Amino acid sequence: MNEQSRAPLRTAEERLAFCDRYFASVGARTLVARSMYREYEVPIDVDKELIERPFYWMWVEASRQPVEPTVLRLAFDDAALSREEARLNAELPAVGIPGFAKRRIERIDFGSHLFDRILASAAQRGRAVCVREGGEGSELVPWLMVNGIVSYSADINREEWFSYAVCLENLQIVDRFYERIRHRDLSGARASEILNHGRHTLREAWITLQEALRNHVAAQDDRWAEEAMIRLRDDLAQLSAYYESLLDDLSEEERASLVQERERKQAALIEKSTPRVVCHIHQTALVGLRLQRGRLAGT
Amino acid sequence: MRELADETIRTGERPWSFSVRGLDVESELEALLHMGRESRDADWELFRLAAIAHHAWMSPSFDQLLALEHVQFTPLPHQVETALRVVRDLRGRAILADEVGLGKTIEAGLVLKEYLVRGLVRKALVLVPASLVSQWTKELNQKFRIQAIPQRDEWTWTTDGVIVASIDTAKRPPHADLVRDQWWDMVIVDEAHKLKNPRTKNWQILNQLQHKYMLLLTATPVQNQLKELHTLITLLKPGQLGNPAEFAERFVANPRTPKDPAALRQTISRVMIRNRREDGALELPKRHVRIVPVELTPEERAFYDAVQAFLRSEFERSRMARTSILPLITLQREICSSAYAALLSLEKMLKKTTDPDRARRLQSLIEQGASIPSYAKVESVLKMLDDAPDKIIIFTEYRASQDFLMYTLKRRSISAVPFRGGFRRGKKDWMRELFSKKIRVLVATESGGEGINLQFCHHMINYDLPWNPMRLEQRIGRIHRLGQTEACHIAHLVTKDTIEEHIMEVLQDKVRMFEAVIGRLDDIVSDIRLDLWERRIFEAAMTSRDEREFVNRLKSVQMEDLMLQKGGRHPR
Repeated sequence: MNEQSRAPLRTAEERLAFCDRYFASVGARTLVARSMYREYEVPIDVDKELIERPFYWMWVEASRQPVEPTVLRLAFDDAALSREEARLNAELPAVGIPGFAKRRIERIDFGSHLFDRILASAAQRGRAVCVREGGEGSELVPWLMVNGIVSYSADINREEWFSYAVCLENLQIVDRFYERIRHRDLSGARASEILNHGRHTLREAWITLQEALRNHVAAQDDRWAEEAMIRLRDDLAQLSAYYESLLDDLSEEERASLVQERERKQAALIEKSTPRVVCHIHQTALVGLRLQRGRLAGT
Repeated sequence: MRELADETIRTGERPWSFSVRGLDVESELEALLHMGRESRDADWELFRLAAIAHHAWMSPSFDQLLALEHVQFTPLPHQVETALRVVRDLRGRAILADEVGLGKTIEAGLVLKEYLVRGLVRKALVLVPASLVSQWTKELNQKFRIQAIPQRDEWTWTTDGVIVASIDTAKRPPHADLVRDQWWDMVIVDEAHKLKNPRTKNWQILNQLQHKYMLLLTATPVQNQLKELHTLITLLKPGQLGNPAEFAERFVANPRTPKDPAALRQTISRVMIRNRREDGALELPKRHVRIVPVELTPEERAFYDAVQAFLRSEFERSRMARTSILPLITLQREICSSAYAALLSLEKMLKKTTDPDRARRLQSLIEQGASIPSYAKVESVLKMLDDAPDKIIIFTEYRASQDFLMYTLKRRSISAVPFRGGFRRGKKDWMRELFSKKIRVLVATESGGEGINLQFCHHMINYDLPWNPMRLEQRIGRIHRLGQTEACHIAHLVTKDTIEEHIMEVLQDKVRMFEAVIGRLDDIVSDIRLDLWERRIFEAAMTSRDEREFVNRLKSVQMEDLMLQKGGRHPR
């Protein structure tokens, strides 16, 4: 498992670089690139993902109106924001013209709505891929990779990134697979190109991967879950004692109502505090790595 | 291939359940196989960007406040610490009882954001007084970047996300059933002192909600009786303080005095966090509180005495007839505020009465009150306005007093706007805006004052005193709060030789009970010497025969409490 030392995208420079890569990947045009400032002209499909305006698109589609592509103006720090706002204001006519909307600059920082949407769009678009190493004709070792997050949760949670891959030739499992291949020169490929090289089915590979995930989770320290269970048992005992103490001297109807209330509260406590481990699969990929004799297959 | 996914797998003796969720790997691979084209190079780039995005969103530890990286401001240290304690130690069920103005909203917002960021909350309900729905929604959106929506109709309850709603709407049909039917990952209740009575619909709807986490926000978890604390904590963690009888036996000496304050404090610290200014939670500018004695004019005095005499006889009559004394208490409170306010109640009584003698007496009182040529409190206010050139907020409990003040200020060409609970949200925002930009005086009634922030003003006149010390504290908290940069000057107008004069003592008593359990309040009342206490108790006993509740409260004050000033020092 990968222990990332520092969370990414916490600096303005990282966010700018991320946006440049994202908009280039989705086919947006960069119209203006100044220090910590960008203007991107975005395709309609990207526009729909980044800006929430379903009624506008319903109107566009119903009326078959041609639409001007949206230009996103993004400032990545305060200095860029004020500098570019001043520039845009200077370009505006002195007297306001009706219908001439003020052009708005979005300040991009971690947690801003637009940046969250950009991340969500990237996450959605980058969920599955098929890539290979080297040109056509080279001998490949096929891998099925899954990336995701293991969440350990009770009242509160902790998450860790995982990347496991299984070799379709021999069902060998490799941990931290993505970290080993992410800087390699990989290019888009057809799935059939990669699967041609495998002896095992995808179903077998996926079952093997799930087993690996279970083994991984089983190998972790359980103390957090044991502590959570102790707290939950204490809370349930307290709840139970409280309601038991109220049950005397009640009519049948009142008792039934109180018992129902207790059960509801017990269920809520269990939902809140039961320790759970969930493997969230976020990405999957078919990866063909060039065969390198004498080394662990392809990695 | 999918059969294992989404299904909790048996984990034998392990103390957790395990499941695989998220992407449907089978479908994704099928799609790749049948796509009929090769992945583009850009797809690999997007794959790598997606991995970065998931890393960026990850919650790498149990005890780190991730929300801080997602919000658009820097919270104060005590707010961060509180949010962390709620999440880490109190496990998401807590009373946030900071003194007014220390940022309970910020703390609650941080906790909510933390759970949202961690993916532990998807559907949350924020219940607030109707007047604060807009303010909360705006603050959650702007400060915390939480896409909260105000509740608009029955459909809203069933939507995911964060819903801000009025508790009065939530408890009413047809909404109540819908609210009860939902599963709420988190429930936040602002002004939670309104949940102090388990027989109210407010408390009952909260008790019936299905929820994981719950935050109750109130600066005043105890207002009148210790059992209110039990009621509130039982909503969060039933049994934490035992059942009502166990609580009374273990912790209650008398309704307003704890038996073992240290043990009670210790027990409630597991569900409650209270930050106080004096602990260094926040360096706010000083507040200067002074009592301004007001001498009634001869005509007002005659009217006051006549109303007191009427009240005494009416009280006797009510007692014999076993009828409600509530209208009499209201009249008593109104006459403390202004003769003008009392006139309205007298007129209502006149309309209702069928007794000719009583009608004659009421008519006579109304004529006497209406003929008063000048009002001492109003004159005091005008003088104070002359002395202090800045913006001033004047608080009164009564609409009639508010109207009269507005009328008087207008006649003197002093710019003023009213503010009250009955205003619609938009009008409240507009009045506040006018006061901040153009207008010198804001005349607010109690209900209108709840929750509004007026840090740009630092002078306050309490035209009358609420009989609840926490409401007095809430009034002061409108200006003496985060964002205030100037020393605050607060004046309580107290009419000499009236029951109002004794209210300060009652307030002090209640404050002491609150302090014993929860922690000390600020100096919201001036220190009172022992001789004053004795004289006032005597006067109260003489004058309060028609104020049963008032008498009981004074009687329950312990002698040792009277001897002690705040901080445990004996008076000179």
